[in-house]
Amino acid sequence: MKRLNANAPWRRLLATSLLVLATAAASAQIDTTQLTGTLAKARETGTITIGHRDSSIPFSYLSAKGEPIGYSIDLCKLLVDAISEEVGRPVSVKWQLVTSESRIAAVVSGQVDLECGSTTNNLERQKLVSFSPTMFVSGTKLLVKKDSSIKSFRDLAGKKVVVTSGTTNEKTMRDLAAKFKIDMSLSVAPDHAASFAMLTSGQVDAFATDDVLLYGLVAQNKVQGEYVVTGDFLSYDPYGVMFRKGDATLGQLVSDTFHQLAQDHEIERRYERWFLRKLPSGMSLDLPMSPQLETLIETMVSRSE
Amino acid sequence: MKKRLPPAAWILIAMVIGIILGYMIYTSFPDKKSAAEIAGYVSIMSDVFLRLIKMLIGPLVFSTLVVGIAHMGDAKSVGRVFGKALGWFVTASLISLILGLIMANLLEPGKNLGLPLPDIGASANLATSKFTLKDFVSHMVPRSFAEAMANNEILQIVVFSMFFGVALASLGDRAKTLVAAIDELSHAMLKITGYVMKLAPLAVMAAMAATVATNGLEILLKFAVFMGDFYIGLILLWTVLSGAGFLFLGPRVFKLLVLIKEAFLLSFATASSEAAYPKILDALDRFGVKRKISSFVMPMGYSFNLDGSMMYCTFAVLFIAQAYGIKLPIGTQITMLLILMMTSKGMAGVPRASLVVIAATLNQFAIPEAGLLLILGVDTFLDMGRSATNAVGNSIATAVVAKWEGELMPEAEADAHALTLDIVPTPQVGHA
Repeated sequence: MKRLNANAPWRRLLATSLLVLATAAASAQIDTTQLTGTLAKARETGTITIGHRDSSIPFSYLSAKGEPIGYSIDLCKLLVDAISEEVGRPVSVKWQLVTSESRIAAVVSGQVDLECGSTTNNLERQKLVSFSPTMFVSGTKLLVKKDSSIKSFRDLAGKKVVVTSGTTNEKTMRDLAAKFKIDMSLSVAPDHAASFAMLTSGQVDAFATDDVLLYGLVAQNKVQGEYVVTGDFLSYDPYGVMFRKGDATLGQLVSDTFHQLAQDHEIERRYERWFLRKLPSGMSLDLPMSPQLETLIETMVSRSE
Repeated sequence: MKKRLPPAAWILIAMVIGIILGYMIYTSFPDKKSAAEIAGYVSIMSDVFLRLIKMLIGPLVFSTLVVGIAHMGDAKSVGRVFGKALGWFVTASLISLILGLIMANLLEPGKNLGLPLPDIGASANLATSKFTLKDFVSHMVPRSFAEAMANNEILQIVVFSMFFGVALASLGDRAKTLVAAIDELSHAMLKITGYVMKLAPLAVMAAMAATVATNGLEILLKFAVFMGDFYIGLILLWTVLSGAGFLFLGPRVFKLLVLIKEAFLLSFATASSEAAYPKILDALDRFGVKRKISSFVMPMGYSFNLDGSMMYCTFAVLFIAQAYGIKLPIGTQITMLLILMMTSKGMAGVPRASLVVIAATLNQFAIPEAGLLLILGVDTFLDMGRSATNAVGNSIATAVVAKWEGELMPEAEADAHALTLDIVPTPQVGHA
């Protein structure tokens, strides 16, 4: 054993602590060198690129100042926090605007690391990209006048229904009419605003599209109380955050983070913030959590390991 | 305060009031946001109750089990009881799975379903990888007693308590004080349970009101066939389990069913089998099951003997297959049943875990996972039936093991013992 200066026992302490620190740093080093894929990239560059949308309210859109905001953006920022903790360095976000046409290619090509919008998780897309656990369940519903006799899709016989051209809702309604032999007359409007106008002017009895859009239209036009979204889902679109397929370490981290967020009621809180309270624009969607999403979140609250 | 109505009647009344109250909220607030908000406030009562149960269940299981095992004497008899319990659990699980299979094949709840189906390609993306036998087995053993207690890991608490109890027994006189102290702890925990249970009717009312206020009752009509068929299956399962109990216990099994009615209603309304644990323990005391058996078999049953959840697994998988018009040959169904026998063991203590097990099974047999989205919307109402069934299954299992071990008091003695439980404030625990 080396002889140490007797009047400075604190030096020994300092030396020991330095040694401990060095060892800890070394072991941390070993951990991070094992990182692969997106996490390794985040470790090297200190950035994560998030793909966002410009008007997918309230999931992913631009604020008045032009910053990406929304429910999906909130969840993605929490994911970035988890990533930065995992790689052991602060990670900053690079924003990249994507559209519904470009989003999948952007993830596949590596242009964006996380796509945070309103993307339906389906098997076809799973061939190209990976998805986070479900963060929202959307689907086709009917918007009708408050005193309408239409309570479910079965009441649509002999009624007029409008759908927006080119949407999956159009196909849903046609399939539904054929499958259950409901004799409804379907009209097609060029965009959601036109469809909505057809309902308010009384030209049609119901407007069928994604429930979250219906709630948005009602809030935007300040006709809460005059119109109701009725019935159950006529189609189901579970939304998730997209990331590159085959990145197992990131996949594990995303899944673990979602479980942790569910456990801490953080997903519920963010949901409340974007779907039940006032949005920055002043309107409020007033869309309570679907029982489907509620149950999905409950299954994520597993035991803490 | 002497009430003339028995506690079970109070719970039943609370349930009815809860349903009426919930439906009033649902109809008088057509915008779902306000209804959900009010339901949130209403459910404070049931949330508090369930938290209180969670608060006491760890120490309750620990103290009753350690004392029970310490009095059982040796590791050999512990092993014997464990073996018998496991034997019953495996049989009951198998019966539940088979019954689910038979019911789904006979009633065909998914055929000609009058509901729009989720697109075959949609993916609910439930995390299915978490349930492997390997994880389950290694997770069973606690790496820290404090952690097991802190996370309310019942099975881990059972494992530690087994070691602890056997050690105390082998120490004999040298551990006399510790055994006595833990015995006193169990009395204290039971006393707390008594206080908490006073809230049960209120909690039941709040839970029912909140469920009905958010979901309404129309949904019961829409899924009438599926839910009706499942509940018919559950009733049949109760009958089969009681029948199996009859083989061992004779007509006394009916007395047991009467004793557990409170626990049954409680777990139904709160959709939590955990909530009923202390009540079942009490009911088994009154039935004459010695505490050393009930404190051991019951918490194990909460992991290995979830009869209602098991039945739901086969039933729901077949329902979804039928809804999508997929024919599963009987050979495939039997393979599925055997796989479920293994995978479902990971369901212990995880809320809604049967859904995760179902998701894994769907993927395994190439049945559209999208079908899950269909049943997710009504799961609350099914969870209630599953939890209540789990409670029934566990009480019968415990009573049967007690009888098998010769640790069930004769009827007269049990009745006399039950009286002492009512009169003496701190009950004389029956390890006599």
